[in-house]
Amino acid sequence: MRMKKLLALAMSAVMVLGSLTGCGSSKSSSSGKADSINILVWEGTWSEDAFKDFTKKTGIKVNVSYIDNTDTIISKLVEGNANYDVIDLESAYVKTFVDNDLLAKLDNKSLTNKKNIADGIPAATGDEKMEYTCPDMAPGYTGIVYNKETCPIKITKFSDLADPKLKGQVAMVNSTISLYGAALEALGYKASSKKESEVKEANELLKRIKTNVKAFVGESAVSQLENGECSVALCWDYITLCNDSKDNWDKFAVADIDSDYEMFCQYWSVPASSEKKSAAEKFINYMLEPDALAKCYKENGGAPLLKADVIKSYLPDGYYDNPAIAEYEKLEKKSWCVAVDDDLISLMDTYYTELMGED
Amino acid sequence: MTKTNEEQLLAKPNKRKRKDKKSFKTRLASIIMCGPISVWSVLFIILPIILLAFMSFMTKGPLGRVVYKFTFENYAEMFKPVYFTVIKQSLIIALWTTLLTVLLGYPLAAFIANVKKKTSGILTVLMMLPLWVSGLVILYSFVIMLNKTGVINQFLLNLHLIKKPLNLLYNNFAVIVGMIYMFLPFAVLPMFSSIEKLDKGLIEASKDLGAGPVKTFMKVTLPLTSPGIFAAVILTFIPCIGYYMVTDMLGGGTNMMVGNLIYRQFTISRNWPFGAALAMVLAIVIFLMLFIYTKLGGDLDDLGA
Repeated sequence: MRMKKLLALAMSAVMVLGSLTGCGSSKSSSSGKADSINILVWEGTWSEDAFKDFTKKTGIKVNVSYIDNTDTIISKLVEGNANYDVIDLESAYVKTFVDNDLLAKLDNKSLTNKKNIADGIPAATGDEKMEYTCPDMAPGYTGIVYNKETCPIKITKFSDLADPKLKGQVAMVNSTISLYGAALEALGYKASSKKESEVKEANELLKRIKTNVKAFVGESAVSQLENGECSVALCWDYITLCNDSKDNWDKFAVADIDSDYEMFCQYWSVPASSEKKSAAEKFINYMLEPDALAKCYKENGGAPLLKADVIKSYLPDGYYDNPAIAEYEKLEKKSWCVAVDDDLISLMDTYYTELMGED
Repeated sequence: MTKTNEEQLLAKPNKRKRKDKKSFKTRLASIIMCGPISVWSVLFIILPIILLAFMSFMTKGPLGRVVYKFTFENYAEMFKPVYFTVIKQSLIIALWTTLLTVLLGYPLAAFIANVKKKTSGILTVLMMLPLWVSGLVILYSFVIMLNKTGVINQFLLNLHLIKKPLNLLYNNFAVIVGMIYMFLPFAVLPMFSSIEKLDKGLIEASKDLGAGPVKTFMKVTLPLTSPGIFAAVILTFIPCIGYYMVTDMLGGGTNMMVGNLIYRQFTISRNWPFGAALAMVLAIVIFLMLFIYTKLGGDLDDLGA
């Protein structure tokens, strides 16, 4: 009996302690001014030096957490135990976040540097007026990248990836949206189709392509392309390849196909739960300054978000010679973007499981 | 009632008091000894399993939220052929890995058990070395080693033994090599323990009675070390079913394992109840295997339980 009581006591103590762990937060000073903010950003995109500069300028410390997929943000925000003031949100999920009241409206008047953003940078589906989000990076694309020297065929359509000559030479991203969206588009359907018959048809096409696939990759197909394991890849890495080495500029290219490519963009946003919206907006505005963004591009590369005349002088000479920048400008007119929701993910994921179950 | 009886009766409460005091001390000692691990087990093993079982009967809500509405649907969903294929694939990979790991591990365990004690100790430590390194680091080393521009291909090309790089990565060969490497220590250790405990006199007796090495091995050594082999099978097969990192990194992720399926439910699909149901079924399969193991005379201590 005593043992049971002791056990119950110990458990209660641990539970109480556990419930208190969520109470710690970034502090606000007595004057109400935030002295730190917590941000959640994508890996391999930002410069910690830029964040430090923001702290020097404003006195607001930036506590950075990194993510490698949007699911992490969703689970953290939905569980309600996250304590973030700024998040770096993927375009496909903006609508879901807005619809579920997870984001706070931004005070666009305080985002004075928004004027620096290049024309043509799209607003996210679900927030067409950019009330909740602000672009933080130029769009990227999931394209078919091929090695000009080793790819045995000329790729003119998505279904060419099923050509037997490419046996064992294809790498593909394992994102369901990217895969099924591309297949649906290639078949002439909407990338966001929820019609079972259309998704099934897309699955059949992907099954044919799978016979040529050597590797499905989670994050990057750069190593598979660079080390010669694969001669072609459906991936979002063209810009990374071009940043890696100038040799890759002549070696790799994006296939010009008859269907559109997936476009993805990233947006700054403030979670509705943040108590430091003003400091968060200050941070967002700072990250739209050419000096701050240039630091990020110098470290990680990427197509510039800001107007060329605003940022060019902050970037190394020849930065704009990178063929990926011109290629991405071209793709902007030939791209699709979906706003994902639970039903779409669920439908595509069931077919994805079937696809991966095939030998 | 005689005086002696009266004395005896009077003495009983004192004895009981002493006994109570003693048993209290024993209990206190047990609480101190077992208390922390019991609390830890309850909090981090039993409670999570209960929570998992509870969640597996709940309903998926929007944005991955769990709606507390009872349903059997998550278990019914598993009977769809699409999931059977994934389970079948996982079982095939786990069976091959187990078979090859045990076949390779047994001679190694026998060798370690039959060398001098000092050498045996060094070999055992060497055997356990990979367990001290992160699995991810090991797998990345394999990628570096096996890819077309990797160490092995470069070595063979430099020796002019091959004209073009071999396809060593992103295939079943790479998966099996990686799996065996990861699980070999788990298989060797229980078999080594079994072989070491083997009464060498019985082998001598078998030889004296005219049995050759093969017959001695089949009739004496193998049956007597079978608990170690069984333990090796369990320790390899069970983690193998759910282990998907090797197939993802060395196999190219072209096939889905049960582990992938569960992982996806908790991340991309955001269907925690279904993920919980899958995890529960996997846990039940593991418990059943352990149950069969003990029924066949296996000792859970050999598995580290």
